[in-house]
Amino acid sequence: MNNPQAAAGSGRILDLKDVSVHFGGVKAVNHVSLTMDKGEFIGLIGPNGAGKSTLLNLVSGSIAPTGGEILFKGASIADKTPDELCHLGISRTFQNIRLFPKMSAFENVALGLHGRPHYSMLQALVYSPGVARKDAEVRERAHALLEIVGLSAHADKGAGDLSYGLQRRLELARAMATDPQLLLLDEPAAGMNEEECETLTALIRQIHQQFGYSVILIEHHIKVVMELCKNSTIYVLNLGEMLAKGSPQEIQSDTRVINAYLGEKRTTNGRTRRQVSRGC
Amino acid sequence: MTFFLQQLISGISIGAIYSLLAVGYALVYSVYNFTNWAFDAFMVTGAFAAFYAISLFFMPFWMAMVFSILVTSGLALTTEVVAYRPLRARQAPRLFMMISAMGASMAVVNIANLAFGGAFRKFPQVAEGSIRWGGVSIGRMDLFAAMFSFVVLALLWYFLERTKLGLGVRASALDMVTAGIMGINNNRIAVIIFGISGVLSAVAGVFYGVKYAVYPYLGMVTIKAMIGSIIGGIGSLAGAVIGSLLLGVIETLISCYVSSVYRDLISFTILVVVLLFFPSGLMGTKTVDKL
Amino acid sequence: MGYLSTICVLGCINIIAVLGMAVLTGYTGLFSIGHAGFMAVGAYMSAALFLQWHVPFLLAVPIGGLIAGASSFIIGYPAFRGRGKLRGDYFAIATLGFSEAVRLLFNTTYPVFGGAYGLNGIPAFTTLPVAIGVTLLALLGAHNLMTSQHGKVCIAVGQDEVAAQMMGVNLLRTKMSALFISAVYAGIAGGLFGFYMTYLSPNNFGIGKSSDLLAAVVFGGMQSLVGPLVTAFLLVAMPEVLRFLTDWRLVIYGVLFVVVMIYRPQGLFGYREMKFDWFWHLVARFRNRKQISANEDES
Repeated sequence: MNNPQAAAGSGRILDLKDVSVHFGGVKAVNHVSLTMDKGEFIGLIGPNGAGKSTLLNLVSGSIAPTGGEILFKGASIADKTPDELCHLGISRTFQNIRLFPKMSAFENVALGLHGRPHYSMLQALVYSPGVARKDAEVRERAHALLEIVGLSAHADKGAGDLSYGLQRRLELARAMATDPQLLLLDEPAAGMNEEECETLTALIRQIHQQFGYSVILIEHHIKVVMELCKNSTIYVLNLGEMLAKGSPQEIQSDTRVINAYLGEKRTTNGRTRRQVSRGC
Repeated sequence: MTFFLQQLISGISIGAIYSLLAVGYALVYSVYNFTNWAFDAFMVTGAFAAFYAISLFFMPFWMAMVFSILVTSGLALTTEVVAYRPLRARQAPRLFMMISAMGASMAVVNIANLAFGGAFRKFPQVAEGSIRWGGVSIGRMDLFAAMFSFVVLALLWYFLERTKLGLGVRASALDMVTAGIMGINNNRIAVIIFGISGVLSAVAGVFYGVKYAVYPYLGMVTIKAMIGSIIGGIGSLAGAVIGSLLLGVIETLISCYVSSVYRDLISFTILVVVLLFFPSGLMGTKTVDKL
Repeated sequence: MGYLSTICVLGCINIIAVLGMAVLTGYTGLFSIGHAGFMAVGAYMSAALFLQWHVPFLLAVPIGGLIAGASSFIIGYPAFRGRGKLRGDYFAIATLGFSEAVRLLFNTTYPVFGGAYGLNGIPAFTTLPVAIGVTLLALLGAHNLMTSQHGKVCIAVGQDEVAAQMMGVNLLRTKMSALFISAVYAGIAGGLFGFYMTYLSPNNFGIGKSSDLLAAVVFGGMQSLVGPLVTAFLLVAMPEVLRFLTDWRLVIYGVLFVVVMIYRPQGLFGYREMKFDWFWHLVARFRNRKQISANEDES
């Protein structure tokens, strides 16, 4: 149903209706439904291969659904390209960091501001007066964003030369630069130690409160998810299907979830061993 | 009608040569996601090796073919080890690998040009004359080339589908990293794949040289093979064969009924049309970027 | 003196075409082995415009360049429209096909273009001042473009187009624009070439020429204008000096391609931008003075 008016009124920003993504015989996502209101912060967890990233790719436009509907702000986005979706208000970070390695941190963030350049090529060619002004505006806003994520000191360093933790923050700043309404974070805490996790958690919470983004967070670090989704919903995926949904407390005590994550595994000598997803 | 059939068969015979090359391409890029621009160098080497084997060393055709295959495979493997492997090992961007391949091609082709001169050499004829079959006259050599090509392709199919090594190759084509983890020796796969490329381009080079002439820039025809595999679609060896046969036939028919001068223009137009309307080719698989 | 002048003019012509290649390959990461085709279009079209329709030289060359740019849509749109890892390869193949098709067309079209006999009687309008002047303009334009937001978008596409697209970059438009610019530059270079040599032959624009252009970018360095510029000039000047190596030129390039990619992929000056700050300070000071006198006039 395409009804932007109704959606705007109710504050519903994302609506996945019975969505499926099948690659040949593989059912990466199978009849998943999910709704999100404006400003909400949702967690998306599940064992490896559960389909979380695929779902994110779906919402960000890299793949098209093979079944079901995706509605963003009430309108279908199933056939939109990633750049179109970016301009509609969806942005993301990547599981395997995808920064522009040979551009500086500043330039990376700036790119998020001008994916669609603010002046024509002809104007750029002759360096007409507006160009300098618009470039200065971009410069200002990019530096402001770098400040927010705490990367001001590294503005001119090559993105590929930054430490892992800083790269993650840079990706965040770049995603924010596109001025999104829906922010998709794909394992932003991957590979971080406990201290780094805490800093990141604080940062994400701060920008969520400050900018009012709607956020979908995929994470394996359970502590991060539980902390950030304290007052909201967590969805659990397993083998492409929605296993459970609820508050952190409900999820933690849901036996289906526990079994999915802490699956029993028999070792060679017949004893069972718990496979625990160790987080922060 | 007979005229049409004749042209059809001629088209199939040139298409068969294209398909040998196209399969070589398809094999390399289904495993390495990379277009082997040095293919024209392999083909030229194959043609010249066989040519000199016959004219200088007086080898019989079959021996010249074997000799040519050995020389070309040697070149293919050298190119892989020198120009590609170092870049692949450090996961260089595709652009860099294309440039390296282009460099290998330029070096070899132009050495051939300097060493052998640009003259068109006529291959001593192997199978003379033509046979008549139901009113249609088919060149013996064309027939031989087509049949030989199909035999080679059939052998390749058998190797890929029915042997253990072939299975390793197909696994690598799907996912090289996983295949490596599963115990498949990636370097050995590279040797096999480029060895096969060498065989295919040697055979193609020899037959092309026989059908037309032997000269250093003979490798330019590999662009037809590339177009053939685009028509057939990526990810499909069968598609590469069919696409090339189609290209050979359409090219021959149009150049016969419309104009022969514009043969290359025709294949370029076909390329543009295919890119516009059949993005995945006829039989290709859609690829999805892993994010 | 005439000899030195020849090297300079031909060097400038090469620089202009190479600047275009730098935009396409050095910045946007798109591999082309067919830009001689765009040079041919520009060369033949501007010559024809002058000889047949008496369009003045200074108009004919830019128009020839624009026609070359327009012809780039034939391969740009089909090649860049689709998705998939091999699109870059398809584009490269298409450039080769395009270049050969163009050469074939001009080789077989006898009215206006002279076919295999070539095109004679083009007046020698490309003098050294003209060549240098156009080169400077070309350089300024390319620099302005690449330091602008459009240039950054090209670089982003060249480094990670998936991420670029996620950040709102329209890949099709960016790539087609980069191709268009490079084709226009090549076309203008071709036009100047025709009006210098006074004679055009399809053999001027074969794969060897495309390889020369690519070589200047590969050796000069990715994501740089200075590198390819210097290399473009050197690659014209050096063969003159090292006559005995001319025959081996393409072999040497080939070997160097492999060597450079393995040992020094950034080429000579890769990833370094030109800074014209001193120039812009002057411009800014000039503008300020104008502003002040304008204010005085008002009051």
